Amino acid sequence: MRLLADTVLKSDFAFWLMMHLARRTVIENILGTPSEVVDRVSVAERARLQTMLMNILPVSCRRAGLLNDEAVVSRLGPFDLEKIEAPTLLISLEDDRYGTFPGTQYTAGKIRNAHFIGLPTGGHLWLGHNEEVITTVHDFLQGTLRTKSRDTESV
Amino acid sequence: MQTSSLLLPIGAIASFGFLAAIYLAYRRDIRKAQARVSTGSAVVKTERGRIEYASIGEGLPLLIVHGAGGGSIRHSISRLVLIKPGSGVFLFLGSATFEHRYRAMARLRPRLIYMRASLTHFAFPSRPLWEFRRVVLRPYSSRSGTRSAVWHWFSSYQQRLRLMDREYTRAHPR
Repeated sequence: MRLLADTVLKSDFAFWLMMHLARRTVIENILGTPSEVVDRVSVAERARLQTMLMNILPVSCRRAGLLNDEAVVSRLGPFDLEKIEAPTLLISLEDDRYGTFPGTQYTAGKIRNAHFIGLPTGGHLWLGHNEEVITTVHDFLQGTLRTKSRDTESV
Repeated sequence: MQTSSLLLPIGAIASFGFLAAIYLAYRRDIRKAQARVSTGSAVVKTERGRIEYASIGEGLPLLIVHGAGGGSIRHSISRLVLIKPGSGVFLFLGSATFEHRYRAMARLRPRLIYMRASLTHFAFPSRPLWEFRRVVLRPYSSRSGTRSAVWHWFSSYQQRLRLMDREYTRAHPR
């Protein structure tokens, strides 16, 4: 299995072929998004999905980074989430195939200054919610900046 | 006789044309991809190694860091660790480090565990076992059918995810 995965990562052609022959499977398992969501979203969102899909190429250039990720992830220690004081925005979707939702909820409960937004469908790419997510992030950053500049003025 | 002797070259030409079309489509896509990644970024040397970055737009600086890539998916697929032999209860893990920790905890609290990918570990490794709810119920299978190995790899992973989703929904009714 390891050899197979490594072969696919080494070969751009193998990965490209897989993207075309097993598109829905790649969307589900690599992009972490349920394929049935794709059928329900707008043309613009489908175009965004297609861009993300094509952006995986050339996968061979990512190989070293992915192997490094693997090594790093397997050696991570616990984080002191309670020590985080910065305003934190957490967004997750319930049907994210990477299963980030329960962990995001948990983290939001541990970080003092956290704001959690959970959306029901859209997968890892928040398909169908792009405008909403971008607006939320934008507003969060603007709000944080305003608070920070007020604090600086008062000092 | 004459017709059958024509079929072979026609078939060969059609096959060649088909393969050529696939190759050309691939070349087109990969050239675009290579052009995209070869421009617009820079490399900075740090004490921990080189970091590639891209700077886009204007205004107040905002640092965006993306987490782990697909490597952890592969890792998750390759490991499914049995906690309690004979019970059909499995822990779906991405790393040996966590495997030891969770195995030890599983002895104390032999409950089912819900986990879908090692990215969960990546982001929240400090989460204790007992805060996880149910359920992962599918053993890792190395059966290979008539499907290609790649297809089997992905579809079996997908099957596991679906099963986990179903079990999780059952355990956590809205």
